[in-house]
Amino acid sequence: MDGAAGIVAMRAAARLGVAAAAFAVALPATPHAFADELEYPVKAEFIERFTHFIEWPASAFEGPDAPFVLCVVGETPMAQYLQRLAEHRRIKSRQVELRALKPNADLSACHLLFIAADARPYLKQILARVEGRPIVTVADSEGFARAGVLINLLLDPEGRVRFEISPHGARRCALTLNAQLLKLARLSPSTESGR
Amino acid sequence: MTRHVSIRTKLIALTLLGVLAPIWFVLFLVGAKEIRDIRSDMLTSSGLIASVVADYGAAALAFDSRPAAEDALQVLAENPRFLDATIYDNDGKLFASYHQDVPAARSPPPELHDTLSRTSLEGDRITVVQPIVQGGERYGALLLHTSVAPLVLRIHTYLWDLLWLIVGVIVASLTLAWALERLVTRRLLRLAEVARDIAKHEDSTVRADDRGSDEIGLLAAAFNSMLAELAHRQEETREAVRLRDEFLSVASTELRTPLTSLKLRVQGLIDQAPPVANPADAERLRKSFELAERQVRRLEKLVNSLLDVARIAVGRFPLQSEEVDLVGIVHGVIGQFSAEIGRSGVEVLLDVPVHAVGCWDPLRLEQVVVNLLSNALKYGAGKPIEIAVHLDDDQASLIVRDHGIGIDSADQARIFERFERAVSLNYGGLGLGLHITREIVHAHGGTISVESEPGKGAAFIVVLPRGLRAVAEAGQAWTHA
Repeated sequence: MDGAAGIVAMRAAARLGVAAAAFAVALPATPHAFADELEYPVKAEFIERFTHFIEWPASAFEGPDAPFVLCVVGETPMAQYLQRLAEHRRIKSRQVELRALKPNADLSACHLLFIAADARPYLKQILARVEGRPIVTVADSEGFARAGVLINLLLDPEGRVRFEISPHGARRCALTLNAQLLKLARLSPSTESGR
Repeated sequence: MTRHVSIRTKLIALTLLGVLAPIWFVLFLVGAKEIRDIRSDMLTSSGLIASVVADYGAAALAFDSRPAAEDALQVLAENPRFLDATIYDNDGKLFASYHQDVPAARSPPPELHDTLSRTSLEGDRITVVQPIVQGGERYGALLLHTSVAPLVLRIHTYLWDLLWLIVGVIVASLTLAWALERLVTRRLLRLAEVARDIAKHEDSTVRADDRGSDEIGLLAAAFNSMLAELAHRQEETREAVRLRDEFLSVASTELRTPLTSLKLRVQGLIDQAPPVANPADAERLRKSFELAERQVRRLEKLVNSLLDVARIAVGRFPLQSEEVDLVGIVHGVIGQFSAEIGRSGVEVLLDVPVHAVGCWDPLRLEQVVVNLLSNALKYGAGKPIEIAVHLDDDQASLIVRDHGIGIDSADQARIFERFERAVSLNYGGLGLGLHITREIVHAHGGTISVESEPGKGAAFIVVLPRGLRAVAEAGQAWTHA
């Protein structure tokens, strides 16, 4: 299944546009290295794709031209890829505005909030502040879903990017999730019902 | 040419046409509409299923999960009409596939650049190319093949139903036509049969027994009253003919008695007249006697003709046949007519053998030659007359040809009837000669015919069987001796 992972990675790279293409040229040739190097671009691509399967209420945006606000709390290697995403892509036909925030900052303007691993001490507090709001919380750290983060990205034993969804988190946010997305995800903390 | 087709056939054809045409029309319209609806339903439902499966497949493609994609395709297993389905990614690479039982020949990936779904009917299957799109993003495409077997089955069922219906309609039409025929045609045919019987047996007392009061009944009634009228007229005609023949017979017999005595008296006067001294008076007297004798002869001839006709009419026409020489008779008749021939200056050309012997009635045969020759002199316009006799083993033929006014083809059959002549003006006579001639020839078992063109003359051809074989053999014996 290395090949499959490679395909995901390549497709993800293609999605990232010109910058990603330039980046791809510099990639090492071996598949494993390929997969390792591509973990973060693929995760960034996944984040973009999640937005296709999630519906935000119109009231979540200030106006038809208001940007899609993508917030990051804490330090993450994904930041540069999210930055590229914000520069080259549009989400829900809106420009993407990337905001790097402190854990105690005001999160109410965010549409999607990425919580980096180093924000673990503030996790409970952050989740309490976004509860009931149309904000998708995303992380890539073990145990974050259990704690209530809506989507948590992980790697499966073959090195492919997968994700788990917290049903608790889904109930607490004011958003509609596509059933297909739930079907694909590993549900946390209950037993696996999808992959 | 519908007049040559029987009413039964017409009735069947009309009933079939009347029943089948609207049925065909309606069935065709309904069938075409239904098949079109089924087809469009199938196309629509295939497209719908494809879009549902594509929805399921979108997340699987977006997050690269083949098992999820295969799960999505498994939905199709529930219905056997879905032959196979394949999900391709945006690069045209196979991502997941499903096939019903046998792996179908892998079809090449479709053109994936469309963002609209395409549905088409190709041969025995429907092909759907459904782009897989989620949130405005295209992840790949679904290629779905659906069998059109249900449509084909439906069409087959429909055609069979149609066939049975047509068979039923034909049977019903035949039954109907048979019933109509019983009502109409059979009665008409019976009427026609009565008419045929009457013509065949000359029995005009037969009547049609159709007592209906419908149109055919009216026809039968009219037919019967026509028959009654016909019988009445026939009876009248028969009576008139009988009276005429009786009159002819009586008149000719009554005329003959004074005529015979007149003829004897004229002959006596010629023989016993005292000599007259004055040659001029003597010449005048001789001419008067000659004229009187000629007129008496002419009168006698006319009366004899009338008598012959009367005999023919009552069927008393006995022949006294004996061995005679036709050529001899011809010479004798020319001799009789020599004075008349000399007077008119007509040339008579003969083409005859030495003898032409047969068993005939010599007086009647002479009458034939006399009639034909006097006709030729009468209508020959002074041109030469040819008389020929030809002889075979079995028969002799006599041909008398003139080059006179001729006979119109329309009149040729008529001239042999009683009191008929082709031209009535400017020529005397009763018009009995040819009638009597024909009857004599027929009585001998022979035939008479005429060949003529108006203005070019006429040829009368009499063919007579030579009669008894004994006569022919005697002739041969005589020749050999």
